[in-house]
Amino acid sequence: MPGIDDNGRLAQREIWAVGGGKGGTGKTYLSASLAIGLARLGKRVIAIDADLGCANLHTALGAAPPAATLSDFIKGRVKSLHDVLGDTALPGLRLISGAHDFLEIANPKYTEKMRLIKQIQELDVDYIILDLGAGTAFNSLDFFLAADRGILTVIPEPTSIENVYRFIKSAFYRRFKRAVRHPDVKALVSCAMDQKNERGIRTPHDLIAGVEAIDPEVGGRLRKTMAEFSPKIVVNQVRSQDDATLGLSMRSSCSKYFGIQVEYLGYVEYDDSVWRAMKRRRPPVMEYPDSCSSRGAERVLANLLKGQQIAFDLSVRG
Amino acid sequence: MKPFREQNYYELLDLAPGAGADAVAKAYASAKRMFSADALGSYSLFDPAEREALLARIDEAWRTLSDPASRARYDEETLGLVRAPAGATPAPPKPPAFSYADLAVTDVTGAALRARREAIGLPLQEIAVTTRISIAYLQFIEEDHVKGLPHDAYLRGYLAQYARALGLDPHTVADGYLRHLRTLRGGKP
Repeated sequence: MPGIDDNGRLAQREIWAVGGGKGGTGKTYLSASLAIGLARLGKRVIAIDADLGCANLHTALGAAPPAATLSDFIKGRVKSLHDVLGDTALPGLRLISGAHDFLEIANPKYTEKMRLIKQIQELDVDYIILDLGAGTAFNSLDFFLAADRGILTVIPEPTSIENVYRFIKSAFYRRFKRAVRHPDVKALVSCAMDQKNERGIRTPHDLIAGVEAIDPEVGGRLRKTMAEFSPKIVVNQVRSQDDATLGLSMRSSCSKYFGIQVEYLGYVEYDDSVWRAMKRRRPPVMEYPDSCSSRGAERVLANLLKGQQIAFDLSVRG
Repeated sequence: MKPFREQNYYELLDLAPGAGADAVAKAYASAKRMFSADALGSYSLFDPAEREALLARIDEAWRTLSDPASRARYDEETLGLVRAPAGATPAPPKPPAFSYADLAVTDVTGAALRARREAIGLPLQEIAVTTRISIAYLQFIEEDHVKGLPHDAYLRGYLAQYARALGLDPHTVADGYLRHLRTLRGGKP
């Protein structure tokens, strides 16, 4: 929750992470659009390219390839994250670019990653937007879990939906595992992460029941962790009414299968303005602010700021 | 949040306990669509047995909530919801309720099925999408258009799916309609 900082200003310092499993589902597009939208509202924003393997947030923001990147920080070539901060064309919006060089940077040591996350949490700004890489590697999961709000982008395709569910499950189990110390419980969580596990644990609920059998107190704590875990969904590349309501059925599916409360923030319509702008290396929300897609991204931002979900009139369906 | 096996009928259909009959019918149609085997939003989560169990629960929810008497009983006995005392506020007029009794086995006709479908506000188009039965065949069924209907062997399957979409027992409807059809064709019932 926001507190008051040393200057008597309302220090929000909210971290929003944008992930989603599959590549090409608009993570970078949405990160850039949210960052730009916040900066336009007069917020101080830092966008961080946390895709350590395939960084390109700078391109989506229309900024030049940066001189210093996260790899300089991770490898200790610079002491502070401030040394790798770059400016963008927009006042109030700064950028920390992802690694561009060695392959090994894509997999930093756990201690390196925790040092990075700690410094991110101490940045003096209003909002920090983390653009995560594809996949369910520990990097993406840890950044996602470190954020105040975790946003998942999905496109109306089975592959993307499958990956989002896998991401939710992985993130959730990783959080579980970090929340417990008991070796037997830890072993049970590891076992549950294997979908074909021998103990027949399919869902977080099965897992909690198993944990409660070992230690009721820990089981209760996990139940609380589960109630607090609420990833947010944005559907990108929406071409039909059915696509737009996908978020509703994903929300219902997650509650019925995982017992997890997912929030549906909104959708961004598919239109050509996005690739037209990207080809010119210009942020779509700046190049075509009145396009359907830009308005969609704006609605998503508004819902995030108001802490609400998309308002949907179900009667218009069909 | 609870997984579907622990959800009550309202949670299963994503409804508030006070939802009106209209909202219940719409929520049912939408839930059937969301969790059908080829639905995108639930892809990769449920295995076939779980999906079947979930859909059976959704049907069960619909059967109870679509009938005012069983809904009232469910609200009171299972959920412990107490109805507002009589006379406090006049209850809004309820649309005519459906019960299985209205669709006695001897009376399965195209018109009866259509009436049932219209009462729950389910467009034919929607059934065509979820069941993948050509809308023309669905129309022929409702119109008792004997000549347009496919061979009984296919028709039986269509009728069963159509019945399920309406929350009716597939065997009763298929048997009843085929009997009705034999009468229309002038044969023995």
